[in-house]
Amino acid sequence: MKKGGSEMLKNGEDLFGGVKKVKATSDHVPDIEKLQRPFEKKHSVAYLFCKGCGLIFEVDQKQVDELAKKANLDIVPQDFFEHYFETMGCGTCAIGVENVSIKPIKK
Amino acid sequence: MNLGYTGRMAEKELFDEAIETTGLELYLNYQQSLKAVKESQPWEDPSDPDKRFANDLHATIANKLGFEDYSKLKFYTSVNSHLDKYHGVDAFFELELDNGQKNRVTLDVTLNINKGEDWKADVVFQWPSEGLDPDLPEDKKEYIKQLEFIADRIVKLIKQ
Repeated sequence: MKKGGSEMLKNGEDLFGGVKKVKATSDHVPDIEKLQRPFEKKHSVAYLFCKGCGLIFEVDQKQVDELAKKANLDIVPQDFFEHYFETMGCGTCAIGVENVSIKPIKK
Repeated sequence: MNLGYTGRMAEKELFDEAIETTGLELYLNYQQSLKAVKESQPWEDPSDPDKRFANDLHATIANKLGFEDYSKLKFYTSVNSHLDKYHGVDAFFELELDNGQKNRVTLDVTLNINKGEDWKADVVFQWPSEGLDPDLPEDKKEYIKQLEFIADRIVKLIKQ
């Protein structure tokens, strides 16, 4: 049995290190062209833009329903060709999605 | 007792823990995942990574490419990121060419290369499940062998 040395490298994190949170600056504006692109993931139906870090996520219908609840929306758009979700934070730059709202995609 | 607890499983648990906190598992497409990774590096200079293996690999590749200026070659870890979770990439190298274009080579480490996963990275390599300690004499030879083997594969692809 091998003895554990001072720097035993066993997995991806040992070899490469792990990412940290993206720094949130809260002053990002969305690139409209990116909000109109076809989705990469099969079941995605809407985009979510994080104003905190500027990242654009894809969300599925179940997540749309959850986000609508967080945004306290009574009426949710039928589709999201002309709307997107906006948050002030996300799991990549903060603890989770914060201050959810729906915004029109201004062309 | 070996419970088959792999590096990939450990990474998944860390990611899932983060998702549990947010309540939402949000998908990031490939380009956005790359952007997120570049903005979430645990060290400041991507041409001088802090982690020993990453640094040794970076230097080995730079030497094989004949670089005196190491800053042309950049290393980014993506462990525990969306790029890792959704796109199967643990890390990547980028080489800035004279014309401003960037060549990228992605990496994925596994403890069992025959486990039938749908590998997505350019270079997938197997790491000994018991680990390697480059400071132990009995591991040093294998560590250097791994470095050379992986570096050769990356150099071949990144020059194209």
